[in-house]
Amino acid sequence: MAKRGMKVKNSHVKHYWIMLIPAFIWLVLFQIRPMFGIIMAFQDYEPLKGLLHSEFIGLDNFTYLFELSEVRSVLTNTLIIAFGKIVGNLLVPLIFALLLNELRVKYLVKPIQTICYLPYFLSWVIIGGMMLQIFSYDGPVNQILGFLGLEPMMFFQNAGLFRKFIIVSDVWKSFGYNAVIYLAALTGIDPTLYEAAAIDGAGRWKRMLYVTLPGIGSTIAMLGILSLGGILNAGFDQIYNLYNPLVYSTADIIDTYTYRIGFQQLNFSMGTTIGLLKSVVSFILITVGYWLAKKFVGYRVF
Amino acid sequence: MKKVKKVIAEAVALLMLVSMIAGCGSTDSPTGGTESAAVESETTKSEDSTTTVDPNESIDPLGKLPELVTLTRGAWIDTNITYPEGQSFGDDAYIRMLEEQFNIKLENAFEGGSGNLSEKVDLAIASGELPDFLVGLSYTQYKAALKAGLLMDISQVWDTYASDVTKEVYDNKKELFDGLVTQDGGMYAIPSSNPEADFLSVMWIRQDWLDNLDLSVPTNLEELEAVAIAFATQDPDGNGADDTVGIVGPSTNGRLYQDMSGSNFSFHFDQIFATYNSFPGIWVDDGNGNAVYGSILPETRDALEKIASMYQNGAISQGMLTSETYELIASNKGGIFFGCWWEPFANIGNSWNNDNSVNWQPYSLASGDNGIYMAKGGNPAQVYTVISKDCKNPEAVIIMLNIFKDNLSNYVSEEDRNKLGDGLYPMYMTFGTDEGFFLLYEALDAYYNGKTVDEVHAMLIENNQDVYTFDNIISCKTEPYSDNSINGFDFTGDKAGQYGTAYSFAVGAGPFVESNYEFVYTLTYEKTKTMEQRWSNLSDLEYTTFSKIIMGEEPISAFDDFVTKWLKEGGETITAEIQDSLK
Amino acid sequence: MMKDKSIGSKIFDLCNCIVLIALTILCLLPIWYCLMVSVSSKAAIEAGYVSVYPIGFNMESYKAIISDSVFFGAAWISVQRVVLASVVTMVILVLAAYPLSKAKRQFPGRNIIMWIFVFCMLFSGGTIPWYLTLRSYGLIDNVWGLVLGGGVPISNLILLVNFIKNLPEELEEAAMIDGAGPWRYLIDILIHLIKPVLATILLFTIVGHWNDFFQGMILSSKLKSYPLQTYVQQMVVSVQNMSSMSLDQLERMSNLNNKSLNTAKIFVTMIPVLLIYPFLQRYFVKGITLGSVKG
Repeated sequence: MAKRGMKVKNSHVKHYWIMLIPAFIWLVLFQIRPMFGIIMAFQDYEPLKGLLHSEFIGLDNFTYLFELSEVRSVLTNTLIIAFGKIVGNLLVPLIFALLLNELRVKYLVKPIQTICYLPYFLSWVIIGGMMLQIFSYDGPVNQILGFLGLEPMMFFQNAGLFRKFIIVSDVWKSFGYNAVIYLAALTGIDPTLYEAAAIDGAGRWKRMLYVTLPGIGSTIAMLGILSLGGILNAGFDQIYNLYNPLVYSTADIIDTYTYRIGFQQLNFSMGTTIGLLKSVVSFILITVGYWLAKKFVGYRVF
Repeated sequence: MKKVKKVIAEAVALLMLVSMIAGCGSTDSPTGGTESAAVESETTKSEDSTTTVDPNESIDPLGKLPELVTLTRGAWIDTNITYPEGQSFGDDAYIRMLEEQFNIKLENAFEGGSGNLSEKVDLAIASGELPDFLVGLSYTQYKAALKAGLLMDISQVWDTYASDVTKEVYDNKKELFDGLVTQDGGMYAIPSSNPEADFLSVMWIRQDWLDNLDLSVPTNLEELEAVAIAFATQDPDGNGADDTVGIVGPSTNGRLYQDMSGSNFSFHFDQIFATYNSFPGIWVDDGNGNAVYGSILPETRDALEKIASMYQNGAISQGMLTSETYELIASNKGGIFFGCWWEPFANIGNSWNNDNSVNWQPYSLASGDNGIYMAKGGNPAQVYTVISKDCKNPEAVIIMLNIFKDNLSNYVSEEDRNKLGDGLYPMYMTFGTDEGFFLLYEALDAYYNGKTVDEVHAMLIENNQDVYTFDNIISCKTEPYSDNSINGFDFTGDKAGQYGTAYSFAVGAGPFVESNYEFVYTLTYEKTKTMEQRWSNLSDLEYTTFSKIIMGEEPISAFDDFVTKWLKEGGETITAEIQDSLK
Repeated sequence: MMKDKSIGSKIFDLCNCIVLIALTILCLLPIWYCLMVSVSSKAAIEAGYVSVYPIGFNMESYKAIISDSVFFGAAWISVQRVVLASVVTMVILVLAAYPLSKAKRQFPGRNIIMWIFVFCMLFSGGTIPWYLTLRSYGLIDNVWGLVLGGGVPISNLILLVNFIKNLPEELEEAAMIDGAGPWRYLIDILIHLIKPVLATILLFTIVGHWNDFFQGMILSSKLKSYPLQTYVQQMVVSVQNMSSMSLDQLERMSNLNNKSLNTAKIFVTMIPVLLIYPFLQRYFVKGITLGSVKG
């Protein structure tokens, strides 16, 4: 057997192309064809004129965006919050999956998994309202803090605290659901590897470090890189339902800002412009991430 | 949720009644034109008006169209309705009536509920395809559709087909409306006309708390502050717990004051600003005949400083802007708030539901020594109806409006109308004048002073008013009639459902009808070119700064920085543009 | 799993158990609260009285839902959507992921194709062109529009590709030696090897389609075409709408503020996804894949 991987007959390649056809058709029809709409970012789009006849204005939309006074702060907020969420949403579900993996009380595993994955399904409209109540100035959480002799925490007034709250509450809401991928990946680890490690004297901690983590390393890397793609989407729904003018300075993200000042509503070109910018940044980040993973860790994540 | 709570609630029924009252503000009717016809609202006879002679034109504003025409629309789905027997969405008494009696057939180009109809309208505008007509558009949507060239110039159709009653409502505010919907001599939308009562913010206060603490109703700002602090600290509900607040401020993302964009809403501080002669959010006269923006004036600075200190003192609820403050009203922990006359349908309704003994009373707070409350007026044109430029029968839309103004009860059965609600009528919009309130109070006065029910009914009918609200109120009003507190009403048993209507009209509307106030209107609703680019940013800056000042996150000096920044980032240009436009 | 008898190990187990249970309770509380709200009275909810147990208990909201025929019509549409989408998506994704999991020398051109997919995942023309495109295909008010409209779920594709890549090459080599071609290998062997990730993607697909309301809103012009979440969502107004709404528009939302009804609806729509997960969990069991093949 050739050490560098099996040879492939040319006839197989033909089949690979055939297998790709359905996906490709789907892609062209529903994702590539509408993509021509990106032109709107460079136009002063008017519905009656359509894409073909609306006035071309080059980079005007882009320069206008960058001239807005709040651009810098909004961009910073978006990046900070998104980054915080990416890290949180990578680590916490992972830890949760690992812990669950180690749980001895087997009959609890399924119920715990199921219950923890539920908050994901509650919309922010509902959960937001709940959180406003629970973490309010005189709500249950602050009452408990009072009992413990601590100062009340103004989650929704203190700009710095609010941003952390956004990150933490989002991670809480999605960790159960996000853990599913890890759980699936964990099953793919060859159990004999654990046995071998145990025989070599590795305790639970070492087994996790040297068997489990490497076993799902590629998955972690892939999720990390994919989530980089969403770095400019910091969670409109959540922030929108929780924020107020006092915390705009740290929590106003691209999407809430543009929505609030009515940019995207009925200013068709501007919405596309913002979308395009986000796409470009995402693409660059994913490419860089992919390359880094390939070069330094040897993973080709896709 | 940050929803303006209960504002929506039973407001459907409420506004139905308001429309009935406000809508019947004119005397002309199609039969005979010059005499005031007795509008027999109880009857179900459908008046086929093709037999009437309208002295004005040969066109009958309520006439059946010669041939069946089809109109497409964006239909609103009422998700909570129980249709009468045999009727369903898209096939109800109104739609049938329009087809049978007027040859107007309605089809739905698209359908949406309250949560997404607006987005569907956006989509329609964006894809360049409007149905024949659309109701309930916001100003932004109307402007976008106009800019996109999708709307028909309806000035001719309006002149020809609008009934006198309909025209009267428009002409009542002609200058304002012309400024909004006409352009280059053409008319491109029909504005709604909300009653001015909606914009008069009223100081709702727990009279029973005042009584418990032996305080009198505040007549000026100092007294207000003192009372608010007393409410917050002296346990006015006597339950031994320190759980009450004075003035309840706005909820998360709520408004600190009314401005040119919004409609009326609750929990703001306009009355307090007014005591400093400050009118933030609108264009005011600087004393020399020039327009300036109220929010940047020194008066506003003073007012903000005061409100900030009131917040510091505990006169205003601490959870303002960061929590759902309306809960304080519903849970009977708040003693004062500024709101609309119809609060008993909303927040006060909730409060009463949780404790039937609460005695909320509305007052006007005098703005100065002359005892007059300077109230910020609002824009009666809250929503717009537009007709697509491709519509083949625009007159049908106008006729539908005429029918509505004439009184739906003339065309469908009372029972149907009650069950469906006016909101489902395809050409529904608030479109009336304010006479109704005044006439209602006259009627109540007459009744309290001894006139019989029949005499009062006759008086109302003579003035083209419905008798429902009056009947509703007197059926639960107890003697002595002069007592307008909660004890002056009987809402026990079946009557509990009447609290909203009866209390809103009989008590809530009191300040509008009887108190001493003057409306201060913005000098213009114009949106200049620079405003289109910069206004949202400036507005944002304004609210953020003011919120922080009031809640103590920033000192009052932040106001000065704000003014500088405001002027620099477009405010100065905009002011010049506005002043130009008013010349 | 080897049993460890050290004290450290036992302490860890105990803490682990406690932490997980605490997390679970934390997740359960809001769900419980929602349930309480869905059976409480309006006035009590508005006042913020409801927390651990219902106040003014009533089943009005659920009754209203049961008797709402539109609700069930919309649910039916969602069911169709989910079933069709599951089948279509799984088939097409598996077919595409297998070749894409090959290395470049085995399948020249796969890099380009892969990056085209990634590109399409990130770049889009926006809602309006998408809407216009689907309209041109006649897929408005059509369940196939809902099924196919979202395009290829590329992140799921990447997940699948990644997983297949990590399988040891020996498996396929062995099959090839036995004379199996790509199709044979795919259908008879590979599918079984990737059951966990297939279950994951199936879950994501089902949840994604069931929960979507935005596409449903854009693609349905008539009430009878609304999928479930679109129907439900139109009654839960987002904040922005409320605070800038005119009185007219506000009055039309007579029951939007009915928190009880809203949470009840959310509960009812949550039930299917609740049931799916336990069903798919059996595929997340360790060692099932490789062990079976080795034998």
